[in-house]
Amino acid sequence: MKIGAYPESALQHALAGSGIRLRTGPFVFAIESRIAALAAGIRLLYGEHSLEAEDRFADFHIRLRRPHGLRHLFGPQVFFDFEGFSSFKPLPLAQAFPMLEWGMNWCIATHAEHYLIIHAAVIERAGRAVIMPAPPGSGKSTLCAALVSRGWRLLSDELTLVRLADGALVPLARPISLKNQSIEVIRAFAPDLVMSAPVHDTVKGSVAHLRAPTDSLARVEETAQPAWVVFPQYRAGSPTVLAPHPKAQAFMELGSQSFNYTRLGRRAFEVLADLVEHSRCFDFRYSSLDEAIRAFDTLPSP
Amino acid sequence: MLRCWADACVCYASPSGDTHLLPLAQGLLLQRLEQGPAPASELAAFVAAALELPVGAVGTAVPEMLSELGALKLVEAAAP
Repeated sequence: MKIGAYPESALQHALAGSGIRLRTGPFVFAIESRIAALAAGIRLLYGEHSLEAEDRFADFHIRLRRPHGLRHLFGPQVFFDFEGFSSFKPLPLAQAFPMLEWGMNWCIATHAEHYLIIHAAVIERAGRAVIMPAPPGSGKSTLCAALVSRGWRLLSDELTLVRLADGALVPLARPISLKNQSIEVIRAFAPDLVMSAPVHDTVKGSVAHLRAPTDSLARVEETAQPAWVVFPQYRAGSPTVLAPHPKAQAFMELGSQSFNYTRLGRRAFEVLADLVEHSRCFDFRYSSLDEAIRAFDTLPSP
Repeated sequence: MLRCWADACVCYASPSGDTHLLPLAQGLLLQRLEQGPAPASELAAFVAAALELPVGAVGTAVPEMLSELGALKLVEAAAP
């Protein structure tokens, strides 16, 4: 049964009891929480996911909870516990759902050592994937959301998983995170996409999440092969420009954007070199989402 | 471990675990030295041939390139 079909009260009850098991791509998260707003967020943004059985093996055990003792006197807060230990400083309670998402990203980025993990969005069409590495503020997630709303399959808006065994790109198909102005931009550009209400005053500003499209979720078991690496940069008023990016430089930038390149050593070097070898690499400057979509629809063949 | 493309090369240095971005000519030097020691004149000829340049255009730069590779601990002088 899909999560969205559960009454919210039932989901709250399950989260507050023995917890729920949620599969995202190759990972199963065991999630516990008594925070009611979290149940609402999970129901909305993971509504098309199905719950795993209670006894299903879980890769990560997490709990979002309110503070114990006197801390509650400082205002409503939420902690993120991983395997029973608090992993971060607490956040305001209103940020419980963003904290869940950030925490899940952290779990994967710091523990999934059978993948080379790159801080990049990755989308796919006709079996060929575009990897978009970019620092915060470059417009990566906005562009990713726009492309996904126009027929590209979402693998991830944040974590590109490159399987070490064979270099395949493995999907997560989790909610897309949008910040600040991009929230209204995407709300206007793709009004049919399911979006959460914005959460304000986070470290990233205002944050909202888009539910992963149903077709992306339906194909979450389907890997993709890298064909392009595109470094996006939104610049207001800029013409749409796609320019070649030197491969060796692309390699170094992908490595620097990786969470575990250094830890993985030689194997990461080989996998990343193969990825760059088989991809065409570009810089991409844009200001118009419609023009960006057209440019991606006509990317030069790899 | 070395990979080269049209513009430059990347090299993984096993002892340190560092990854270096090298200009193409330096990468080609390293590629030749992976096969065994060689004098500077032979290295210059190898790189010149690979880049389709006259040997004279490359020869004077080889000692400095080798020095830079040595500073990165990617090469060392062979005993005479």
